[in-house]
Amino acid sequence: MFRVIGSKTISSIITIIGASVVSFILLRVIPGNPARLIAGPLAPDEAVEGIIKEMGLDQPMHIQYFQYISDFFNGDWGFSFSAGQPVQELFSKRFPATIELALFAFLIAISAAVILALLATYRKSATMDRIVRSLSSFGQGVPSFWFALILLMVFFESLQILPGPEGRLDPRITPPPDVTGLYTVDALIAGQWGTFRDASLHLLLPAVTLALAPFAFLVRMLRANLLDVSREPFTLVVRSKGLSQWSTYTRHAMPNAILPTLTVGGLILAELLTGSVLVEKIFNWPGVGSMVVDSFLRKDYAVAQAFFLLSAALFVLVNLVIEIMYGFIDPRTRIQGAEES
Amino acid sequence: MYLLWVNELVKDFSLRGGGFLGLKEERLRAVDGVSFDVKKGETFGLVGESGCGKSTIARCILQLTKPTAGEVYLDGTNLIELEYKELQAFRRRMQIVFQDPYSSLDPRMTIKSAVEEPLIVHKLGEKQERMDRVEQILFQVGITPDQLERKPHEFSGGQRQRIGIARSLILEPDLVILDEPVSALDVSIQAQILNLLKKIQRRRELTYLFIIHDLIVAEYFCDRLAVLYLGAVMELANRDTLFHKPLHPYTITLLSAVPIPDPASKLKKKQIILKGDPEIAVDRPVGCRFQPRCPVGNDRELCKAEEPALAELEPGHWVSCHYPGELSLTD
Amino acid sequence: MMEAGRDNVLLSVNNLTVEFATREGDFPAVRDINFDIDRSQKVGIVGESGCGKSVTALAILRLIEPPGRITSGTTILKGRDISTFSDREMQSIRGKEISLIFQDPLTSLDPVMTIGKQITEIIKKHQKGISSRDAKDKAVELLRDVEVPNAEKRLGDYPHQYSGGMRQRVMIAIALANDPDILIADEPTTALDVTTQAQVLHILEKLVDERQTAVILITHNFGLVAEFCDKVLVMYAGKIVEQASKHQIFSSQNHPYTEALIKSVPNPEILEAGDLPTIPGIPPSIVDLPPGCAFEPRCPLGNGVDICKQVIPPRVQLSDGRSLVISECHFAQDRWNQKE
Repeated sequence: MFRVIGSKTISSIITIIGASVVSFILLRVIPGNPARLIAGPLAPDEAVEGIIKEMGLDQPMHIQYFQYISDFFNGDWGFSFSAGQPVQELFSKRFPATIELALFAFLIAISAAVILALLATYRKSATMDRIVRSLSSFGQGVPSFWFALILLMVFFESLQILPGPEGRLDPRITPPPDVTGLYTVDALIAGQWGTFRDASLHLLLPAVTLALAPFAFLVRMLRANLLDVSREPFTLVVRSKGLSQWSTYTRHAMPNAILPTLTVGGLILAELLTGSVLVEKIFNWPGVGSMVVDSFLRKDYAVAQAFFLLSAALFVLVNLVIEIMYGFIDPRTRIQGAEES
Repeated sequence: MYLLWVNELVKDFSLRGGGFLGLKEERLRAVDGVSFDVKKGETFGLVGESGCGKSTIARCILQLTKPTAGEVYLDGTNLIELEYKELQAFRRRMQIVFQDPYSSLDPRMTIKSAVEEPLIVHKLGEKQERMDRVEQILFQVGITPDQLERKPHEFSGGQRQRIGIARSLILEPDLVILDEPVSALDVSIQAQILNLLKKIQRRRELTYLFIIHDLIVAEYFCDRLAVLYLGAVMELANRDTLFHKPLHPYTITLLSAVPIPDPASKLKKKQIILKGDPEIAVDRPVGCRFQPRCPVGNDRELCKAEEPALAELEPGHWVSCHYPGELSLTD
Repeated sequence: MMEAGRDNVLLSVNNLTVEFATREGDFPAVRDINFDIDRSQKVGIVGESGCGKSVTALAILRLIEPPGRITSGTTILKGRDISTFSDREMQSIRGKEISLIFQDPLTSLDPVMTIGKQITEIIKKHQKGISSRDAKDKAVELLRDVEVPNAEKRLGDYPHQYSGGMRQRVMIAIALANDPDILIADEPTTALDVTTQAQVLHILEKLVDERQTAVILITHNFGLVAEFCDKVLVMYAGKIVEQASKHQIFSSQNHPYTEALIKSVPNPEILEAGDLPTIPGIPPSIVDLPPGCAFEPRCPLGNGVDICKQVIPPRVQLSDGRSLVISECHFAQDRWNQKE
């Protein structure tokens, strides 16, 4: 088992190193003076000279690369001229918002997928199955921004039961003391129920919007896996023991069906964690996605460069964690069996 | 004179994934020094349970996989030393019929194309000649010309097996390896296929290497047999000797385990139940490979320490055991 | 073995028909079958693929899933008609009064649940209120009964850590956990090696004899039938064409199919130099059933005979005072008389 973890960790590290090299090269491949790109089109020449010195852009390539790597580890991710702040500060302000939204969305997506996949398969009802498959097609085909706007129109404008596109909290409420950066969790820790309620309500619509496509994908996968598993002889064996159809599905079919979904789920979570521009824009959510796109549009490449490396590292890390988890959860990979040839 | 001679055949498989970081390789010895010869025109049986290596031996003979050591002589020529082009010529002389009639035919090819394919691969004959041959051979196995354009799924299991047999015969081989050809079929269909195989053998003077786990069918069909266990020959003899005067405890255990389809059977068989479960031969201990489960040698020092050699105890009767004949089949 | 007195009858299946719906219509996999099982009787159901023997087993336990459904029949278990039971009521029969073992031990166990949990699951389902401790002890005891070494430790293992023979023995342990009256074994050893088969059957026989459990053994292996069963039911194309004691079935068959089938089984004691007797043709598929006797096209006796082609043969009870044979053939009575 541990030999597997060892080899996977090593390959993950190699991947991240590769991503860092690509990220490093990118900036030097873009036409123009990299220092000018970092300083911005409005900066005076002396500033550009200063940056060349500071960033060691007159040094040989490999020295620059190592400088870049060591800076990164020291927390120096460059300076964003358009925001007037070090990149690292920008990210630490924005990431928690994205994380909170991503986690909520993921939870909604997977819970809905599990419940609906179960309902679609366990009673073998053609109608239920059709409903779930239609929902899945809807989720995959519908553009997120359209869905977001519809939700806002229904729940904010007409019914007025949910807050509008005003970000994470009602502007009159102050955020809870910062522990994790996730307003809901921090509010709970501080015992501020009102704040917790408000933060949750603000999360609802953007999370549901963000959850739609992942849900559609996951429910289709789960449904197919459940059908496959239900065809395996052991489900009939479980029924012959006297268990009800529901018990058979929840205790035996689902645990088997969900295993392959784990790896996909991990990738979906990683993708959600790297932000979603459209949703953030519509709901005014102060997340990483919109920040990066805005920086790009302003030619603020320092932010883009840091984001590139960070998101690559995030993907690889999440992948690694999922694979290790899978190794622990699926007993067939966890323990070498006494298989006969 | 022998048509096929297998000499000290060894086949190892490497299993990756051992040790730290998954880089160490472990070796599985599937075939451990197997030797036997098959005379022209006879039916030689390879009998054994799962893990004994019989299918691997067949693949080594056909050169579908390269043996780790040993030689395979077909009509005097060592196949292992041949170049690819030379091997092609010999490939025509040995063919195989597979076990599963459901997966051994390409579901998207008509049976006509499936049976024609070997001729095309070996560049034999013109289009019309090939068609004639295909029709003729399929007719011989009981498939009428009007069925030629059908796909495999339109046929029953028994019919598919006939088609597989036809495909193996179209190149007019000398040796046909039959890998469990009737195991997947119903009893009454089994009988049909076995009769067909016998008829074809007589008519074409074929030599069969018959891989089988069903001992009753083996007794019915084979002239001489080798009993395999975990990659080695335990006993080799002609039919009557093996089934009526076996000497190796494993052979005897196998025979006692076979249920006789006759409640009034005169054979008062002893019931010998093996201890334990089959072991995997990854890191084999010393001594006789059957010793851990052997009713005779389970506790004996010699059996634990030394692997018995395959010795010819009577003319044509080879046994690999330190205490042959101690166990008896009947009470 | 004779049909014992009425009160010895454990299970009585009457007029059971199971149909499968396809795009071309509804086709019967099992047609109007009738048989009884007595206490601790060992009954073999033999037949070739497609004859309906597995469907029969599932139908008894009402585990037929769509597109199949039971369209007629009553099943009386210990005096109660269970054919009208709801699924909920059947759940208390399955695994408790009637248990089932399947063919392939590799795919019959949940690969991600420990063996121990899969055994205690059936114990806890039917012994309400039993403590986890007690259920676990019972599971260990059962593993010891089926001769799994190191039973206590092996409870925590997963199916892939057991060999094929061991897995099948675990299936037996699970099936016998609640001391059922009837054990249905559907091709329990087909996927196993010969020596493993002997091992598994040895243990099965020991346990059912100890517990006096009745067994329905579904198989195509006549050797098993000869060694294990008391009574034999022969199925063909969804019908039970002959029912008789084991000795009758092997020595003097009444139905022509039984006769041809027995003859085509290779028997080491009557090895002839010539060809094995065979049955010409192939078994019919359920979508192609003739109006009369399904065996007629292949029957040495009835091929071409009008009544065999048009009319489904009736069930005929044949008795000579000592033994009872039930045969479904137009010539049943004639053949019986000829033997006297």
